[in-house]
Amino acid sequence: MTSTPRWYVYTATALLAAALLVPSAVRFAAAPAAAQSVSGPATTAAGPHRNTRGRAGNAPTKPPVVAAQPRQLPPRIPFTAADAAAAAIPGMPDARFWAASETDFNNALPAQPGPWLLLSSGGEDGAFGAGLLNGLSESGHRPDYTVVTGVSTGALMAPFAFAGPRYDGALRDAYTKITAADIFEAGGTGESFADSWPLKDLIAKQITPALLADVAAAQRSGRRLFVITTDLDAQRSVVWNMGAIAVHGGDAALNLFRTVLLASSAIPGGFPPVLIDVEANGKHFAEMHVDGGVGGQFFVAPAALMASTSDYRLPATQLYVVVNSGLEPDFQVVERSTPAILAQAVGAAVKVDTRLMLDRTYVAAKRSGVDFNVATIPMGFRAPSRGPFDPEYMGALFQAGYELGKSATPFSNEPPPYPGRPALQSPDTDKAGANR
Amino acid sequence: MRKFGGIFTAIAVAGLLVAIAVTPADATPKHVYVRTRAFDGLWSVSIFTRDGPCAPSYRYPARIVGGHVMQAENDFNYEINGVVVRNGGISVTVSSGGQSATGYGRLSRSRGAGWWRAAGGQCSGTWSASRRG
Repeated sequence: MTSTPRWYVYTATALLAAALLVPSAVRFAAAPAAAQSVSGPATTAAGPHRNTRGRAGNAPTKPPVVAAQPRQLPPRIPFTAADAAAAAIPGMPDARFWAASETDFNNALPAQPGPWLLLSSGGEDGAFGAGLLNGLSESGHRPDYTVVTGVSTGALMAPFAFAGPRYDGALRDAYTKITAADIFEAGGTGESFADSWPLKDLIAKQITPALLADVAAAQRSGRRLFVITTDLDAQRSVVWNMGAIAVHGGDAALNLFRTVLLASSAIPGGFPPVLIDVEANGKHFAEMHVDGGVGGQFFVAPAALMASTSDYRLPATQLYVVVNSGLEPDFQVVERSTPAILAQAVGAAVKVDTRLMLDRTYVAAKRSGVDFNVATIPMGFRAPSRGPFDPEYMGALFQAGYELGKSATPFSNEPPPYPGRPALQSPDTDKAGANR
Repeated sequence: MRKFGGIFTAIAVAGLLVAIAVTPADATPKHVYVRTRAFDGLWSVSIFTRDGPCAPSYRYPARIVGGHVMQAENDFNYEINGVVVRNGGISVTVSSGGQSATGYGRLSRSRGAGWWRAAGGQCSGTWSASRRG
């Protein structure tokens, strides 16, 4: 028996668990559990000093007591609910609106109906959506979506999807040539279990001025790109009109565009929240934004318009929902640790939330006379994952999405069926073995 | 396969470690085996598994103070200990939950690289580092 690597659990799991948006969190969380039942390296709690002796010369003496100090975070500028309600981005009043605002939503929509692409959360499983879009391009079945919305990992791929197939290569690379080291750094920040500065750097490399210009051009042509974040102070979802931001141009627009993408994927507890500077009533302060998945795994329209009691008709011709996560229950023997329990519980909640949203979207589409289409990770997809953001796993998932996109029927016209009772014989023998 | 158990741990543990080394082939005059402050500061270490079924990569912060390598942030879940000497040679061991891994390598003014191995030998790989402050 090996000891559970608690620090690993606390960083990786908490980070991914909180991953409302990272269904695969459950998969990672399983690793420490497995560690309990599989023989690992001999563990004699090797004294660190002993291990370094004789290599770099003198063994280190007792480390200085200066070491790590708790990170001091600057206090926030206080503001009121009224300030929050009136807050806007300085110089860019059209940059965003509350997701609950029916009027602002309708005003932001294209003048003409067209196909809408809705990209869900899913963390590294965004490789599925990236592959799907590449496959759709390959088959010639990818329309110019008049509206593209993205949440979390869906937000990260949304600009590429919106800008069109010529960014397919960039989209592929974004999901097949990265590793965990490109996304986060372990270690608490005082606001999260890990730091997302590597992701911030990655976004800065991927979101170029040229891409911003292409998004702006599409906005001018009447198409719309929306990204969702969660304003944690207000406990409300915010819709960012990324095309409108792009039209402003310049460094301020580019920085805001990148900041919004980082915020939309800021898994609460896992990654630090993103502070966004705003102005209201002559006062400058910063709002705290986290992952858009907190408010729902994908976005179609304000909740009141999606309600079963609403008679609102979606001004679209087709809805294409891309679900970047598995929807089936994921069996694990859950380790008796807070993060592992959190991971499995949140993972289950995300699946339930996604299914309910799909169901609601299906009803709204039927009510509106709009074609409903949904693509999900194929039930038969199984690939080993050695850890967070495993390039081999993501490559396999990209390929599965690509093959589905190229196929004759990449989308289903109904939400996937709900799972029945657990199968008596698991198709995943590895998992069963790991839990013995 | 999902039976990564200790391996998974190992990489995780190993990840933290930056280590360096002054290998026999690297034989350096004894006077360089003196800790230095030249590398003091905040570093970010990326580790990559080349052999073994450990996590493919991970990134950790580490702080060097007076030639000692230690945790950059308070975290009682793991322990990092190591030393950097004047020629940039570095050796670090990371311990957690009774497991450990050791790495060796060399730092320059703003970058570093080397290799690591988990205790028990299930996994090994390389690491790279960059100074962040």
